[in-house]
Amino acid sequence: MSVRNGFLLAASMTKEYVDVANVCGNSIKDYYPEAHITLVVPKELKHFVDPQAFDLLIFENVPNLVRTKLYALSKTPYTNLTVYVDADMECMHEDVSTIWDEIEDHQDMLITKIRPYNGKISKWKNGEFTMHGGFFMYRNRPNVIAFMHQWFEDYKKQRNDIWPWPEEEYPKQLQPWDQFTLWKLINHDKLPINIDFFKDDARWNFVNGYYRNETKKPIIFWHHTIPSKHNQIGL
Amino acid sequence: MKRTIVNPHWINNARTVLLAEFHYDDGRIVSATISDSDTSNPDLAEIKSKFTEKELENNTRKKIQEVERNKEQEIQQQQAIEDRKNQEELFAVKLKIFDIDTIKNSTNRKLKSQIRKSKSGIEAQAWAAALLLNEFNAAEAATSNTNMDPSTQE
Repeated sequence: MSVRNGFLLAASMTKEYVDVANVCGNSIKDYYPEAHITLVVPKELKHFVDPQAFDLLIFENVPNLVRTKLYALSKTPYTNLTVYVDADMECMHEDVSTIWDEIEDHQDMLITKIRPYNGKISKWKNGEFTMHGGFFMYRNRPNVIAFMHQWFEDYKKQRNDIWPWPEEEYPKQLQPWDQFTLWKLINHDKLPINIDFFKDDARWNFVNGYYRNETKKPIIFWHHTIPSKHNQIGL
Repeated sequence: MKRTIVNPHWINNARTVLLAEFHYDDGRIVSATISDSDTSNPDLAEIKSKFTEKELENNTRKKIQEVERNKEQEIQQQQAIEDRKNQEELFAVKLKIFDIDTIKNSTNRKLKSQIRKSKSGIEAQAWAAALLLNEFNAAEAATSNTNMDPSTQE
């Protein structure tokens, strides 16, 4: 049976990421019991998964990578809308069920804005990050799925190959960031995709460190960051 | 050395003291206060000749707005640091609770949900204790039922 809309999470590398994904999946169900949630997880970590948190597990041939997330995006089981949620997020409000009303037909993808005051790197000589890659909603359209596939393929190259960009224009610190791959696909390669921002975007992805006045309404997703774990996996 | 006076503005409600920046040609910027009553001060004379009362008032208003903005931003930063710390501590407590086997394996979604929705570590721990007790009682009841079942007795 195909499901039209749902949430997609990915957990990889260590048990800690599965633990936080369990909390994240369950927290969505706490406020939105009808939500359909999929977890993409490498087989070797599958036994840490809480079956109550997810409706579907994808684990066959799932690579255990720092960014298994990018592998997961084009494998979405949802036929209409997918909401990708970073595993270290926590749902906090019942308005989560209204997310499907946020996107308009002409939009392929909705994302949230980064706040430069809260990021490690936001600007370099020839560009700047404006999009936060930790939470977004996308349509199951051929151009969008192709975009997600390319995001994964190009990120692998970006991580593993020698940095191909002139360093004075594109500092090497950008290399581990999948946000840079996203920036490149949109601004440099100009792949055909219509990306817009969520209205009141901080509600949907309230990242640790954001100022309270970023939104006046209750926060729907709080984005914890687990930097202690990031160090262990080379981020 | 040649210098330009920039942004003179009042720094007291009585409008008797000015603060101005002196931009020198060699790149130095010096801030100085000038008393409105010190009529012998050439800097005061220069300010009065180059800036109207209205301009001084406008500069003062802009400065007040800037100070208020900075103050507000500082408060926001402090709150964000505090929120971050509180949220991370609470999240760590929840993760530890859900790592307890009895809780992890419990199918009592209602109580588990209460743990997740808790707004403080104490609240999360209280709900965790309730769940553990609930599981304990259920296990006790199952054991005593088994003991009372004649089919399990020798």
